[in-house]
Amino acid sequence: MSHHINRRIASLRELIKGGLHQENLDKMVAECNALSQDTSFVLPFFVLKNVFNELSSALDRGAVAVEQHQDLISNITESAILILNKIEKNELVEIEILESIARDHVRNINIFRSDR
Amino acid sequence: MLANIKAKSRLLSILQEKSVSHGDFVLSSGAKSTYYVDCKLTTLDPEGAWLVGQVMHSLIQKEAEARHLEINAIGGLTMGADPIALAIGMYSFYVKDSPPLRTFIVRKTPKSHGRTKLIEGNFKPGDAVVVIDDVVTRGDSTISAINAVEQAGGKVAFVAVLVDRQEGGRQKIEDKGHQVVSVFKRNELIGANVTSHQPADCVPA
Repeated sequence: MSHHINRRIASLRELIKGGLHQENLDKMVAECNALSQDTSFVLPFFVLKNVFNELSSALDRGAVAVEQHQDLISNITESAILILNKIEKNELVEIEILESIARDHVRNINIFRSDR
Repeated sequence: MLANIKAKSRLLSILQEKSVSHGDFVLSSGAKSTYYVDCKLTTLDPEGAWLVGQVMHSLIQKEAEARHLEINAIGGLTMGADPIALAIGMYSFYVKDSPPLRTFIVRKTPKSHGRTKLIEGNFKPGDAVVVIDDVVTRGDSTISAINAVEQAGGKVAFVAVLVDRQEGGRQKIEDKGHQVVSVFKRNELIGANVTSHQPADCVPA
């Protein structure tokens, strides 16, 4: 992985650590979309882009209660960082990891929508 | 004048009743707050929209007259600004402004097909524009609208908002050279005993 790409991945990771709120999510979507084209890790970045994009859409109506927000993003930050760490080391991102983040996201977003 | 004072007072009551929620919230900026103002519940209410049109039209007229400006069009970032801009435009027609204020919408992202433009509606390059917003917090969404208007060839006369949360957004916009006028400030809406914390103050999720 080139130094330039690793720097972008590190920036994306810092953005994720900064919080999965709408303003950050919109930037994450754009960067994952770009990285899916600029690296060979098409599927992991495609999955991350779609997770972040759906989170952003879910939050598009404005503020949410802190508890609801925590439910919405439960396990997503940790899984996303795990995926980025593997990509950074040029390691294979196993399908089980991608399924895990997708499963958590689908569960979270359905709970979130049913609560509103 | 008296009618406008009454309208503003009634609008404040509707905002307090319908749009202010207390609790622990995460805002779209990531800041945490003990209250949330959802202006759409007021601006999309028939009486609320009528009063918003009347009160904000008066605010814009007063500011424009004081600065000897002629305003052509009003609009802001979708979707918070949309019902406000239209309410002002309709009120402008009702009071027989000649010509009435034209209204437009600023998209958050460019249309993916056609002319991929950011501004929809009744806007022309060269227009003197008042940029509208429902709530100003950090000012980023308002600044996005200002940038879109300027990139499309408009001249931003000033910014008019319904509620200023008094969290630095107004200053940020004014630092970019655009004066901000507001109908209500946070203290008028909910009093002084409220808090907000920027993301840096929060434990990352």
